[in-house]
Amino acid sequence: MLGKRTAADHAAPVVRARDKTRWQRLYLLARRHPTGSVAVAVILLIAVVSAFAPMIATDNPYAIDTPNRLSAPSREAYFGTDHVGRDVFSRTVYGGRISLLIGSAVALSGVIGGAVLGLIAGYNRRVDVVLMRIMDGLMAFPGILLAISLIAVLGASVQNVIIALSIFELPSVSRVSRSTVLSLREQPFVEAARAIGARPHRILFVHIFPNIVATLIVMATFACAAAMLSEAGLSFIGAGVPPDTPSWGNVMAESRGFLHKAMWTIFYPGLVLAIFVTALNVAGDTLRDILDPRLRRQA
Amino acid sequence: MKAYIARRILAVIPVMMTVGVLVFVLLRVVPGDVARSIVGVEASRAEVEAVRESLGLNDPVHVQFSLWVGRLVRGDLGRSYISNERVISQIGKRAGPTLSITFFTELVVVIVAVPVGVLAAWRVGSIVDRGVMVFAALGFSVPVFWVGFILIFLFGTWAFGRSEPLLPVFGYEPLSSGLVPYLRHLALPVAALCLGAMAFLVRITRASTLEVLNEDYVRTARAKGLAEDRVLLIHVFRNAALPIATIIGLQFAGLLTGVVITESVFAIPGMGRYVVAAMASRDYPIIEGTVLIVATGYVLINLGVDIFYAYLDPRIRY
Amino acid sequence: MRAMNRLWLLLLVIPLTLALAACGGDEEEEAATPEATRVAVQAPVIGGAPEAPAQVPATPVPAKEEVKVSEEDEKYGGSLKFIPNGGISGPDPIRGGDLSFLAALNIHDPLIAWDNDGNLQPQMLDQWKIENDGKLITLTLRDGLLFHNLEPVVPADIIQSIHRWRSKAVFGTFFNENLVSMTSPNDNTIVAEFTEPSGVFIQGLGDPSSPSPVMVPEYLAKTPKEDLMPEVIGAGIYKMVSIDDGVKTVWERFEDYNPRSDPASFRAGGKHAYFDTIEGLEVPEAQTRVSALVTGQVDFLDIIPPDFVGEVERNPELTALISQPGAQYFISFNLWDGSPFDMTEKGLLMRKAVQALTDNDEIMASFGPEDMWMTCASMWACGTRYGNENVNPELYNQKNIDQAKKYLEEAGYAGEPIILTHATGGGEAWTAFATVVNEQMKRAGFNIDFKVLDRAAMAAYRDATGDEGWHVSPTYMTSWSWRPIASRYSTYDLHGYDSPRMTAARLALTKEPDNVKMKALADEMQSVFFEEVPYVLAGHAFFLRAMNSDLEGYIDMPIDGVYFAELRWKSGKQQ
Repeated sequence: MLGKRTAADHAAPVVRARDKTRWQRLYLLARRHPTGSVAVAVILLIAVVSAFAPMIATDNPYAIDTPNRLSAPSREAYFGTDHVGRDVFSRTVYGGRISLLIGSAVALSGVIGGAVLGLIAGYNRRVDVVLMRIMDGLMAFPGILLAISLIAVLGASVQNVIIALSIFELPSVSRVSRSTVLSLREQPFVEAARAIGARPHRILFVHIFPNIVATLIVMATFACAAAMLSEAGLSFIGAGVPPDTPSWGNVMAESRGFLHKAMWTIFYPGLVLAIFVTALNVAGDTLRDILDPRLRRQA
Repeated sequence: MKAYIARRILAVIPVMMTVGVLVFVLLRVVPGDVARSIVGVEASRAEVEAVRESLGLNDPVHVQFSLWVGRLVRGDLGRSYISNERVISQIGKRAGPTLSITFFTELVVVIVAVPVGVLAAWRVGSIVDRGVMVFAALGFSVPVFWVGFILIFLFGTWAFGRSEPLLPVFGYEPLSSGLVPYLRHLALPVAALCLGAMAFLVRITRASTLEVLNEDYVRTARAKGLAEDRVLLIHVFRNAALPIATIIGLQFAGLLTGVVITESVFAIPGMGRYVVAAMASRDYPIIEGTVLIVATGYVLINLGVDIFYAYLDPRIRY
Repeated sequence: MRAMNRLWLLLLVIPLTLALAACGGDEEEEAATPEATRVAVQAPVIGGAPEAPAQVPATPVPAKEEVKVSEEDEKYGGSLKFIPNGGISGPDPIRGGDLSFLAALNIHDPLIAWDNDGNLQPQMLDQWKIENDGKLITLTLRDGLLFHNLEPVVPADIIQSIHRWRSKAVFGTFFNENLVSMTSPNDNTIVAEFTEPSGVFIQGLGDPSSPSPVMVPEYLAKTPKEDLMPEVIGAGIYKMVSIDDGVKTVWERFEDYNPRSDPASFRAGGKHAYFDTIEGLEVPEAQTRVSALVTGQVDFLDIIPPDFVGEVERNPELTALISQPGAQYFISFNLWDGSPFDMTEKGLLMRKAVQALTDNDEIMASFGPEDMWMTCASMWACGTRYGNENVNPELYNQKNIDQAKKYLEEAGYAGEPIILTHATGGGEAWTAFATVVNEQMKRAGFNIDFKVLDRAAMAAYRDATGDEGWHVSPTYMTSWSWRPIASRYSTYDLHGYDSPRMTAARLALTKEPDNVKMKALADEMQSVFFEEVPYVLAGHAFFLRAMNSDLEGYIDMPIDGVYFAELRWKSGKQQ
């Protein structure tokens, strides 16, 4: 942003942003961030494929066919079949639904929960002391044990994986939003609001919250990526979704004993997961570049 | 400064209490108990009940809790219900592998990620920067067990010659059995683990360096004609180092609790695997002891980072 | 930057390996399997071959002369590293810890052992004598027996060890009430008196299944059965030097072991410990285990997933050991009152529905290559003494969804949720089995709640009496001819199976002296089994083990433990 591109931007005809249509602005944004645009396109593509899974999948992802287990990729089964003869392509397509559900649910609940806690903690000194110590405790607690305990109590399910992973996310999100609140609280506009007698919750939600939304959105992207990886880890440990449920992580974890014989069972879901998470990370970086006012200043 | 440090140290107590209560309650809520693990799957229910009684697991929860806390206060973590070994000595044996992996992973990560991150920030927007960022995104996109198994597969099953195996595919050798075997056994797990950590640190380094690069004093330094390497080294890096150091501390602490999967894949007898195995047999004293020790390590590292931070940046000590 | 290069290298290598793997697939079928690397190790039938005398003879029948294994001195020595099937943890057979079979086989010596012909032979004993219709049993100890602490083995040790074992073993339930006394009139004789004929006492002492009758010094045998014995001291060929839970165990040859003079024959006869040391290492992941064998980090793998058989066979430096009949997989039910599968008429119809819908070919195909499993329409493991597939063959492998639906309708099943439990961490084969059963039950209209728990939680649910936490659970047991009567899983009360007909037949079987009538009783038990459906049979998955091809002398045990007696490096290797 400092180098050539700045020069190029300056060379472009000066047109005010508000003079353009929404689509034109989107186009300009995309041109300015080509990598990010590709990433967003990839995310959208995979999301659409997952949404229309029943139309795209070639087979029922649960249907077993043990005589044809571990068959190599072919025209009938694009990604081959797994150890009980399920179609890996269909499981990968349907797996997107579960993995995206887990990723986005964890991102949403973790970030919203963390933000609320952080806002409250940042604004109320007494709550802050208690809450932050609990968050520190949670952070120091080995998360895997928490997940295993949940599985033991409630049984393996998508919902429990979401709960366990959201709890992982809480401490870091609440810390970040708390520290943002702490620094914003001393800003002149907040002091001004306070001076004219605005009540605390109004200050919190009207004046402070909008200022941390950008940070939260970026955090949500990363939380989503991290959750999808953690989900795979939980499946590996045996604390993930039930074995018949296709999620990218679960399909990979279930197939880890067949690397020598049927690499496709672990390779393709892994590839899709890697592409998606990479895209999420790139998109998150781009978003930060766009939203972070300190970085915007450079352009 | 002293008051700040005292405050930070005092704050450790409620954190550890949270962890202690959490692990105790969790274990009592979770179904399945150690008595069944002791007598075996084929034992009758009467036998299970007898063992429960003899271990005091039938006592009211508050009695169990106060007994446990009482022992903790005396510094006694108890003994394993199953092997009857002292928890503290068992953890001592397993801390070595975990600490070694964590340390070498962090070492490799810092050596690679910090220079790369600074480079990317310095040449922001260039081909180098974009390459680094794509790598940073890629590195943090595959589950660690996937990388681990691919490495094992390449170095093992797809042997590069069986008579002369390139690297051992599992296990751990303590430093006492020689530096070379020690490092050789650590090579693959560290390789598997450092990808993700590296990607993360590259990001952080790049971001903090970028931030500093935009400060006025850097512009001034450049304007007064200072050589670029001096600008980078003296003005930029020294200031960017602060948040980077924080993240390194956090990451190191996080690795301590996060190496379970790596330890399983490479069959390394570390604390992570130990606690997960203890969970499978509901060996309460081991689980409680390990969680407390790991949490203490985590908290102490964080404390160290906080104090270090406060020492460097007086604004923190409000 | 080096790490970056490594990443790119990896990214390059993955598609390459895939391409190669895909190409390799075609060649695989044409390439002849190297003969030398596969050994189908068929253990002699434990519990006796079908033609062997079933009832215990009054005194041991001398074993046939065998070609004696050459006892060249240079074959002694070297060390062995192996990876056991389970983890490494305290080997008290009473508890059934991970290592307990291994310890029972190698650290301990049995009083009585099976030989190659399926006969019981005295091992620590010199002689046994059954008198007075089986109401008086005399055991005579062999001379020169020492425990690993170098104390001589005396009758008091044996008596206390038998007491500890019988208090826990299912075999004990056959004679505990009849046992009047166990005494030792002199320093090498034990006399046991019973009120009823109890030849099954000798059977039990020769049965290495869980819990194994291990002989330990008296002070250890006094450990309450709720506690773990504080030390591991036996009288077997190897002694335990150290054990580090979850990491490794080290054994050494017991130099003062006094082998019998008769030749080694299965578990009986003169046994030799060839290795100086044996190290057992815990490695949880199958792929890591196999890679460790390939790179030579270890020399022997206990049970690994059947799918690795091709991998091991293709490698000329490895030998695949396939052990039949392996593990018997079955679908167990919660039979306690209140469960949908309880002992009522309705519960029976529900169980019959599961029996009718089961497609055993489909289930067993999930276990790996076709030569690694078999279907078996017998409650008693196929190929063992009572294995008989002709009792109710029409009730096995029915694949009859319509019939199942009829049973369900008759039972008035209206789609109530059926909890199918499965524990994680038991390996791919078990999970695949649960997955297939889950799908098959759904086909017949069962509304399955697939509940996946960790092992301890599942054990807790299965401990519950009544309709708590589970209804159906796909599981397995090691197959012996005696196992179905010795295991609480099958005919005992563990899951609430309370059947007067089965109990009567079982008790009669343990007391029947006549060979032909015993067979008839076994068949009777089977027909009760097929009518009452306490569990539904799946089939047998064979055990796959693998070892370095430079090893020889392996004796197969059809249980989840490796027997290291006679195993050695071919001369001059690995010394």
